[in-house]
Amino acid sequence: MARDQKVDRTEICILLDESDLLVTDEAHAGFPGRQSPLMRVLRQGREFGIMVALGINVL
Amino acid sequence: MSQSWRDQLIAQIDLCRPGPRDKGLLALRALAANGRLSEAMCRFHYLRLLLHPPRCADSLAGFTEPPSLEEWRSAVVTEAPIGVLTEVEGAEFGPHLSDRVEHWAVAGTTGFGKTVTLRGLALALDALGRALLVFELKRDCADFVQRLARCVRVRAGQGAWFGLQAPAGVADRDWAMVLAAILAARCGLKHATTSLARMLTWLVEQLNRAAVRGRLWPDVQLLCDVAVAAPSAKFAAKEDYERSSIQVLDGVAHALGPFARTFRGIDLEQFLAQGTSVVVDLSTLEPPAQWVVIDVLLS
Repeated sequence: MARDQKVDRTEICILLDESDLLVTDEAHAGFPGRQSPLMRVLRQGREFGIMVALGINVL
Repeated sequence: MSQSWRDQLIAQIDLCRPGPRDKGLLALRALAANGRLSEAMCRFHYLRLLLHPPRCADSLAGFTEPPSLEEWRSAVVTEAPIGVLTEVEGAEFGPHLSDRVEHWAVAGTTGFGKTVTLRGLALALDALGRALLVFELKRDCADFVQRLARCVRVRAGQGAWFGLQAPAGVADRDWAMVLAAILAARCGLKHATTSLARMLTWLVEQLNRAAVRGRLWPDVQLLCDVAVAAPSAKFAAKEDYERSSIQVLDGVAHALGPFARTFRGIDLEQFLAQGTSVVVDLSTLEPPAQWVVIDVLLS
């Protein structure tokens, strides 16, 4: 992402099981623009070929 | 697609209730009202609207049959199958890798199979040569080193060191702001961000006065020690902010423990760029420290 290298295929997958506490509203609240690093990767990562797979116990 | 499952779906369609495709629904209602289409057929067509919005959202042309098995199959085709869909006979289930990038949320109750699904996904991606970055919070990926084609596993505090150094191509000042925001946010002291960033920037300058290979970045304990020793209000506009910074740093340094006692940690990007998967075992850390590590590595 830092190199702004855009692709249209999956190159890297980030796997994060048990990620309930990282996807709550409170988890983003302290960051500028309420955007935690995980949220940023979820929003912008697709352009850079980054897939994210999260395991969540409760929606 | 099994007949019974399709029939169940169609039976659930309520033509009187507004849905996500209101324009199509209104047209179908009009056709049903003037007797040109039976209610059963309207249900079929509305299901099709819901399933194929790009092709059918604004047109009712060609609506003579419900979605065919082939249409279903084309919507779920995958080059990395990890299972089969029970709803669609013969349709495999898995990620789409070559033509798009997608995110997955595997949600369910305990015992639902979330971890098994994610493990299946990892093996399928590995078989297609994709690199994985796995954050292991519960020690359930210990066998990945043997099962994945190319994989390294780093374990917090056991031969792996977590450094705060900036990624290649990112300016020190920018990275200092990113780190400061993470540390402050994860400790719930947002107003400490600026003083932490100033402290980081100052320390990086001090550590790199002499020419060294690569840049050295302070560990959290050093940051904490400097914050305690620094004259009042050297880095923060208010004394309260200074105290907040010390509180943040002390908490994070304690939580990370020896794992973060380094001025330069492992560069995981090098592994991933070479197609080697990386499992980061954070099971020995407590949640706030786990989050800090995940945030820094994702940034």
